[in-house]
Amino acid sequence: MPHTSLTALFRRKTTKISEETTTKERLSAFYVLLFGVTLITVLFTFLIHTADSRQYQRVIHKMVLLNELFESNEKALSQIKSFVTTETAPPADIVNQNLDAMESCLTILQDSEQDLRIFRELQDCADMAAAIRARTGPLYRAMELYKDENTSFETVHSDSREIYAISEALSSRYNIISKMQLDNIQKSFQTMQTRTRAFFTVFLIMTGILFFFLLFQIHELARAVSDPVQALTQAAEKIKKGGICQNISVSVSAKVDRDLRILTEVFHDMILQVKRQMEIITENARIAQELERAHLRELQLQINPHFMFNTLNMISDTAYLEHADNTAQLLEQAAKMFRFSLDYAGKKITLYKELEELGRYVTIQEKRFGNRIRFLFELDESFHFVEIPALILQPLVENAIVHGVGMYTENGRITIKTRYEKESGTGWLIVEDNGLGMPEEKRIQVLRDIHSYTDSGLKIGLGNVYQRLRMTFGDLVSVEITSIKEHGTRVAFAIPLPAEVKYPAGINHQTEELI
Amino acid sequence: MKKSVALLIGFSFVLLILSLYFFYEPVSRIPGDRPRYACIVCAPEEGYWGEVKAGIRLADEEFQTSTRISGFSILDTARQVQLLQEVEYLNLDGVITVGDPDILKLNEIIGQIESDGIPVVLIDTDSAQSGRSCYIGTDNYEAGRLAAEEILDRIDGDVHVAVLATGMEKSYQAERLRGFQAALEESGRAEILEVCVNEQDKFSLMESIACLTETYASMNAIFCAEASTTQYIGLAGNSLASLRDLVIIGFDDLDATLQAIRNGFLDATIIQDAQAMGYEAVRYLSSHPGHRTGQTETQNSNTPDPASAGNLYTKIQLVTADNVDTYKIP
Repeated sequence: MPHTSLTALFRRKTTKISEETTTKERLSAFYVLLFGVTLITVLFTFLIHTADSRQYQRVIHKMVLLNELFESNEKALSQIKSFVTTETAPPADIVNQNLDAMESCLTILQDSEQDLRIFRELQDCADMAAAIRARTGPLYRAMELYKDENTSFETVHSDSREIYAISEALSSRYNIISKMQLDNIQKSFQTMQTRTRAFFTVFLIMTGILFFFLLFQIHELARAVSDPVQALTQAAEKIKKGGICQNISVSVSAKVDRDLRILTEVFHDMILQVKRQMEIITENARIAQELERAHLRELQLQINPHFMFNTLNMISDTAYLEHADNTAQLLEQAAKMFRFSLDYAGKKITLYKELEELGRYVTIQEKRFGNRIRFLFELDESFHFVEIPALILQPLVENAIVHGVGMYTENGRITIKTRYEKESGTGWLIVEDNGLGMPEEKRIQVLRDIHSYTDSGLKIGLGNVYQRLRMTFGDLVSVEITSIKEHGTRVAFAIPLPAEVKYPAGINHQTEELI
Repeated sequence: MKKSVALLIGFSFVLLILSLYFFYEPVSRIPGDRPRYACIVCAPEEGYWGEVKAGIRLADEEFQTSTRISGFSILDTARQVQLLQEVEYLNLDGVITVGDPDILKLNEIIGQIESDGIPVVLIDTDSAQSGRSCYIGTDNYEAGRLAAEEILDRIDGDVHVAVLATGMEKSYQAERLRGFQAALEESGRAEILEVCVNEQDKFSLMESIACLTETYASMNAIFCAEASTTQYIGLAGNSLASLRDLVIIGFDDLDATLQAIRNGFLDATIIQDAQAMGYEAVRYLSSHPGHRTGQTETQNSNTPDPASAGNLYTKIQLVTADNVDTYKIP
């Protein structure tokens, strides 16, 4: 992954991470949840207990009131009985007090009663209490009359019997009401128990679920910390064992703690960057090594040409001493050629000089091939003072010989052309031959090879020429190859030139001769 | 943190809803202005009287009345009188009880209650001389007729029938016999061989049956004028071989009676709508507070305004082997 996109990715991930939670926040949330659940549980338990207690108190209060009601009834009855039998009237307000107490209890009980049957019984009891009160007055009056001997005891007796009957009826209602109340209390408590049981069952289930949720949270919390630490540790161990260059990936799930996630991702990116740096270092070392080899090769080339040049000179001297003039001339030309290679390889020279050296090469070849091959020059000297890399044209001519007319026994022709097109600012370097030519596929392949040329050693060919021209003149350099099988081949290099060719210093503008 | 707070709120809310659902009981004061009635009937909670009480409770709910049901033993009329005497001390709006024309004290107390302006409705058994406001129950005369018609349908040719009762002084049995007799006489081919009045126990009944079968070889039907006799015959079942070929019609739907019909020993029984009695009694009182009718026209229970008559007859139904399991009166 390119470094820029990695950085961008890291930046995006950092933005997302800031929205996630840290361990501290998770712990805080956990404590809040735990405390909150405990508090709510305690609160609800307290409320339910309070509600139960209140209901229990209400029930007890009812039973107490009921008891008080019938106690009052009993007291009133015994007072009336005592009054009738002893003829001693209790103070009216005492009897009335008991009757008032009865009525008060009845009112309170009726107000709070929810059971229709019991309510009805209480209503009847209230009627009976009122009936007792209504008959108490007449009883007292009857007793007064009896005492005054104005009436018989029978009146008193009949009035009191009525009161007794009502009071006994009231007492019998007490048993009925008490039984109903006790039944209701029992049902109520059973209902309360069932409800409480059901409520607490549901409550326990909910609390259980919440408890397991909390456990899960704790587990996730622990993993949020332990997982990235483990991942980092594993990655570190891997690096320790196998070095940083192996494929190491540190990834964690989305749920880890934010801080640790940042740490993990930074570690991951750091590994990638270190790996990249190491790759760069390795590449640089390789390039340095290549350069060293090239330098060595260059030295070798320098050393060998020196040896060959000296040897050729020695042979030339020997040929001269033996009066082999032609041989001496050829050897001299060859020595100068090698000297030129030695001195100017990798350097720039004027086209003029390049053509001059080409001339020496052509001379040697003419001697070699005789009339079999003719070398022609069609030159446009208007741009010959442009500087080009050395040894550009010679490889072209050599190709024309090797692949074109070299096998001809006669009429072979190689034409070297230079042309300057002022309108387009292009200088042309052309070598044509009337040789074997090449098929279209071969021509296309050669062009392809020229464009994809990499310097793979000592071979200097069209690809090398093209690359060196591009290194000097840029990407506007182009190459054309036209070929007709058995008719010939034309290789042309176009180099971009300024609109007005400026002559370099040291050249006589008038004579175009070197100064 | 937000998730935790949301969870806590949700937990609390659910707990609150649960608490309300399980523990909340709305408290409302019972209004004290409902009409209050006293129902003093026979004690049993099941069977016939249980149906009466069920009808009363239904009517209470529908008409928003309050009826206190007191029970007494079937034979303990003194207790019935005592309970009725308590009515004097209570501010009631009506009384429902069972009549008995033979018990003077009962009729007196009913009259006294009526004179205090509290309407009294008699159910099951009437006692017109008590001065009650209304009678609601079976038209026993028609019930007797129905029984006779069933016997006549089942026997081609002459009908020789014996009647078993527990007391002709009981007006309802007398009424049934009257209707039974009238229907037989109209047919012109039936005669009542004998009316046997027994104690309400199985042994005297068995004696009566034995006597009847010995005496009347032509007897081909038996009419049981009330429930207990029918029940005892049903319980005796196949042990009474002499009765196997007889047509036996009974009264009421006690379990033994229904089972005897299923077994084929009893041919049919006439059932009364006990629940309707209780229901109609409360309905009458709720629509006639402190009202006395004094009228004695008979009427069936489909009359839109039964208050115009002194009697309100509830439905009767014949139950046979065909409908013994599906007969419930709608």
